[in-house]
Amino acid sequence: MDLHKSVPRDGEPALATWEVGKRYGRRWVLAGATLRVPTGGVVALVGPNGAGKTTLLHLAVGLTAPDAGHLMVFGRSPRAATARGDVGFVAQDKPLYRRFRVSELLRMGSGLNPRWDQRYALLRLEGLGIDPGRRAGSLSGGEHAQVALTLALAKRPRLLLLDEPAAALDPLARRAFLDHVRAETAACGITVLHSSHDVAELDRACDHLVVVRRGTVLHAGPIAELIGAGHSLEDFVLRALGGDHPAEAAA
Amino acid sequence: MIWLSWRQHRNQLLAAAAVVAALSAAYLAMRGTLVSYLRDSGLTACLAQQNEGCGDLIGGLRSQYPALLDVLPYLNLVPALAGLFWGAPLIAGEVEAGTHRLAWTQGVGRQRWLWTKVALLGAGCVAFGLAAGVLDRWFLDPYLRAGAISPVQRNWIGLFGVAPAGYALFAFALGAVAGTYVRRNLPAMVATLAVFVPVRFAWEQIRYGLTSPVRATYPLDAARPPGVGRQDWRLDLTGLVDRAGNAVGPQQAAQWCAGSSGGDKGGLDGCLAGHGVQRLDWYVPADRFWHLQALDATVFATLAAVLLVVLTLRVTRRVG
Repeated sequence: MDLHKSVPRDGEPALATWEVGKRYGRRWVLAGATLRVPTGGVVALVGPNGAGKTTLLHLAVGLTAPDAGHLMVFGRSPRAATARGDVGFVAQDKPLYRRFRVSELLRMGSGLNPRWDQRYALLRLEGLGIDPGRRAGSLSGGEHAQVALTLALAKRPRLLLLDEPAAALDPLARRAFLDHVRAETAACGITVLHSSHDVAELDRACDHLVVVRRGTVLHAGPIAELIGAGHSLEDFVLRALGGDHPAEAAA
Repeated sequence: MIWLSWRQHRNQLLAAAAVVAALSAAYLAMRGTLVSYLRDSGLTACLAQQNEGCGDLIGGLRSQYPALLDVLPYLNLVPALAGLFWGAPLIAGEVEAGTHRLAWTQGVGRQRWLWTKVALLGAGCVAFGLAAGVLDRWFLDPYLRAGAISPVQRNWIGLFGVAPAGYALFAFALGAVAGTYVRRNLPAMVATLAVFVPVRFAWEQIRYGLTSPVRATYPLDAARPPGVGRQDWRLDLTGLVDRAGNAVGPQQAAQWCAGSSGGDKGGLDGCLAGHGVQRLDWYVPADRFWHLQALDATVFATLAAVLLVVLTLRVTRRVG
């Protein structure tokens, strides 16, 4: 279980956690989670619902503080890194101020983020055919998700955290969306950590994998190392998670 | 952050401006009647001539808008609106909509996010509170001049001066803190009201305990204590005292003057006066107005400051 140590140490990791734990009430949703996310990678965080994926992402962006262990984002506390504009985050429900026009959301982004790229944001929306004059509340699910992603990307973050980014989209839009993310982040060298419980979509969206279950990290590392030649990623994940699955409730 | 605060809260600020405008319009519509009554009935002339009397004319002033003086004290609860509509949604509204995960993941610390908003809305509380204080004072001026109400009177003093600004700040901070615990708009509003109203009512009782009213004794046949003006507030806690200042109860009075009662009031008063009995009264001089105002504003601004410290700790350490 020391696979995470095989992640290449190419300088400072984008995200490093040490024995991180988080509890709500008396229930630990995350316990002893240790992992390193190398700079420049596209990392998928997979695991069943309730495994602690969202909690891990919230910890990494500084929305919550850990109850045990600690974590660093580019060598800083998550809050400090986020306040510097180093971290872009799109929450699971992709919150936007519904009464704001898209242009007003961009203005908010430009006012609050030191490296905001307004030109990029406008070009991206134009490419997607989204009129900045529209109210956020009037956008379709796909447009809504794209605007939320645009806000996160135009900050020019060094680490982009996406919580179930494609969950609200239909299968076709899902593929396009993930390809989009992949292409744009690769072009800028942004490290991406995105959570997913859909194993089938992983192959096209990541080169590193972190598998979590019941609040602990089962596997972490480059996909090529985790699975031997000739094996499929899907099989690997299902096997990793499947130990006592689906009889998890029996535990 | 300043633009975002303004964009998010401009409707709330404009709504408050609309409330003040509506109040101004209502006052403007009614005040003319009061002023012309004051002039045409001869009440102004009467007040200028003597300290006593004019009772019928003052009654006439009151009857211009019969229930108004019973209703207006409820304006003391208007500052609660700052708690309900500005304070409670500040955090609870964001958390309920999930947008705190958008706001608090931008390149700006939570503390700056919070305090820009607190500064904007806090300034709004002070501005609208002061405006309400000026407005109420201006409208009620005819009643105050006639002595129909006193500026230092319980349930009235809180409408004037700097006190409303203090209450509004307190309500706002209270609502914001409630929102960090309840985290949903409507329950946070209910919680705010459930705390503000009892505190505000209790304060009307506590205030005069902190600044003792003046004690005055005077002869039984005088209408009011010497030196007590029309603007002063008499507490209606009249009693009887003997020469030494001890209270004289009804039994004692009956014992002394049992024979001289017989329905003859003058006889009873004369008898009691013969025993050295005087009337005892408590009053709050009108010139304590600013003293009491400073007390109200200080107490509620201090409560607000404590709550804002709690709010800052809750937002930066707990919520999320």
